[in-house]
Amino acid sequence: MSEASSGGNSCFNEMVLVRIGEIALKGVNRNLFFRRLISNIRYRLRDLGDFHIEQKQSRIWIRPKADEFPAQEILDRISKVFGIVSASFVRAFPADPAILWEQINDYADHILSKGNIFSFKVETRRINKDFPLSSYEISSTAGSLLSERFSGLLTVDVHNPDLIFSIEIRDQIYLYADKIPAQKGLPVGTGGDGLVLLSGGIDSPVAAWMMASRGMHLDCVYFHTPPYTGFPVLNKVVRLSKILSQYLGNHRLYIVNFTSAQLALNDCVPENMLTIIMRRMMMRIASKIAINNDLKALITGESLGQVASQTLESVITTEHASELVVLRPLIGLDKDEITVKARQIGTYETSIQPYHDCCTVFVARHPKTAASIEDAERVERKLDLKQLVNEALSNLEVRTVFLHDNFS
Amino acid sequence: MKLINMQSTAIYLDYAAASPICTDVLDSYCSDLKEIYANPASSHSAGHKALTMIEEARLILAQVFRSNPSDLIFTSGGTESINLALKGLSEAYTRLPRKIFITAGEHEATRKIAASIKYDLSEISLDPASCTVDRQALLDAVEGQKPGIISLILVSNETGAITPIADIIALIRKLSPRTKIHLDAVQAAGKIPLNFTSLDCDLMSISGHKFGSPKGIGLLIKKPKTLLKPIILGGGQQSGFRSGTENAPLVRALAKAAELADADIEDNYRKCKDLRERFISKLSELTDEFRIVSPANGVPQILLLTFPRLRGETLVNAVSNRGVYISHGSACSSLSREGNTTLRNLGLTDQEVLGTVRISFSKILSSENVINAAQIIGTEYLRWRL
Repeated sequence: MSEASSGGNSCFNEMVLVRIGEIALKGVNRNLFFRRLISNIRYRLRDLGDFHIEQKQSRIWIRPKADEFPAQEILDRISKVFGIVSASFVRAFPADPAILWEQINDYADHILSKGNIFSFKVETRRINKDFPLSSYEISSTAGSLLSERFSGLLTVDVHNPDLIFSIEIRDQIYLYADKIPAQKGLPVGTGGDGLVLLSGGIDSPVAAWMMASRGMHLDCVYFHTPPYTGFPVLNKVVRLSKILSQYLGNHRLYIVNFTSAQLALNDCVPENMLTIIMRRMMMRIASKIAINNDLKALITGESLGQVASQTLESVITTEHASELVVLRPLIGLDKDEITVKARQIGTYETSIQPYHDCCTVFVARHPKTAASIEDAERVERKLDLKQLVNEALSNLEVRTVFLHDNFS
Repeated sequence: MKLINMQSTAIYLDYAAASPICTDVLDSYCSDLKEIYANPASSHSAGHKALTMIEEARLILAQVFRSNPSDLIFTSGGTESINLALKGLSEAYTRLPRKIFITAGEHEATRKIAASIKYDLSEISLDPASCTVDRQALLDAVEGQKPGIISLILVSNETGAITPIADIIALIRKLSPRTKIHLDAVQAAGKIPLNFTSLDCDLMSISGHKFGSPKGIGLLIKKPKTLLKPIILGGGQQSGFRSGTENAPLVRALAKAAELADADIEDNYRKCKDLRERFISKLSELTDEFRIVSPANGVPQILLLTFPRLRGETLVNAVSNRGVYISHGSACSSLSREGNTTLRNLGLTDQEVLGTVRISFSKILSSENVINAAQIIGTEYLRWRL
């Protein structure tokens, strides 16, 4: 908690203004989206105190009930909730010109003390037409007030200012200067339920993030192959899942013990087909977990042509083993784009830690790039698929990853 | 020397990574922590008491390592000692030839700091037969290039090989008298006798937790006239070589552990040799698929094996689940990505490097312990090999 602001001053209240994108355009379901968004925001801020959260027109207002609250932390968290375009910390005070001039001076003192601001501009929106001054009058008066007060330090620049003071005249006056960009998208929980196959690599957490940004609620599944993959890899996946919980909210992490299946494949499957048959096996197990838990789709981090198992033919052969639709949000992205996204969402540094996962331990030197469904099925005849799937399911460990746990 | 064992059921075979704290050391350390909290630089008598404790510890350590008491620098451990040694030398002597030699068998700390100082770095290869530095290659390079600094590892953290240092240093001195020599004795301390004076190196690094001291303390021993530019600046403690309030109880724990370990060296060596033989013979009963990488004349405490059909990492995980704790190469390099340079340099193939495990012994283990461990390691290998 970086900074605590005071909202107890008699002259003004401090609150967070949340701007909404896509949801505002929804038709009859609009309220459904709003209710979900407000409940997601409320849950995200749960441990930071009591808040009054309400929807007015196409915006959401968050007013802390306490005098002291961690302003920066609130904005950081809000910026990770899907469905929000941007958020600002706002001062609200009665719609009276005298109070406005007083507040703008005081607010400028507060903002400028942070430094590095040399030019500014004032923008006014007058929604309340009963207010005696026009938008132009308000902007120019405020502008000259500030240039006089900070003469020599601050100049007006209407084209490329370091800072924009925004004044909105509504039932009250709202004054703000910062606008924190958020993730956009749709609120998690409005887009159905899915299961993401998390490997510990760079791609799958990004795939999870992308589907969550479209409002999907996600659980995660990880295929653990002890002792070939050790505790550090499992721990890495748990940490990724924890980082993702900032976006996904509370979710489940299914840990499949994949060792018996992997060893059976290793014995019966030609080396160049190992990866594709392994992926088909994972699809079968993940489908069963999803169906048993009422999840409607599988999500993977595949990107077309990235490796041999992600050619179009391989993707078709892999998908064939799934009982559910497989969503691949990264299919048309290249590695650089995925890496940039992974850095933005904060999973990159964890993903690149060098531990072996089962895909690197059981890897063919020259995997087949065009394994057809028929090829795969021919190889799989040697395996007791049903038994292997059931064995993996009977060894399933389920953990719940909570947003509000502390990081370990 | 009594030591604390981790868990009665577990068998810990990773003493080269960290050793348990000797019970005697721990007892006096705990009571010292309660009583000796004053700053040794304070002029009141409580401060004086802490200072006296440090001075006494210096005498003990100087006795153990045969050095001058005032030429011991307390650091946070081996890594800091090595950093201070190489960076400190390179910045203190402006007229030394800007060349540093290290061997291909150095610890990661040496490799990283040697590469970061503003010296040309050359790596002298290892001789696969002895697992130590290729003596002729080193001497030829010294004669030809007369480097400013040479850093040598005394006992390999990977294989346990002992570099025949006394003889090599004497020859370096003859060929290039101005060269400063740093010795990484982190794995040597407590395993072989160390006589700093007769070794005739300029600097020697030591880490406490390898021989029964708590973690967080090490030593850099210097010759009286050796110059160093400090890397930690501040209140000028330890003659300015390493600022920061000295931790009197920890210094005393280090001295006590060093003293006990020193008195035990022969006994420890003999017992570990016996344990190692029993371990190898038991393991051989179960499988003949492994190869011993460690040289026969290295320290018996460290045994590096390579298995052909299983990754070392997998074997470590598998036996860990059965309560046997070994490591995949040295703990410090098993996390780094490039793989293990020491082992590649010994002529191991990529496959063999991947298949290595390091087993390290201590005299506190019983024969039964190591036989059980060998049984578990052999069984798990046969169970999971691919």
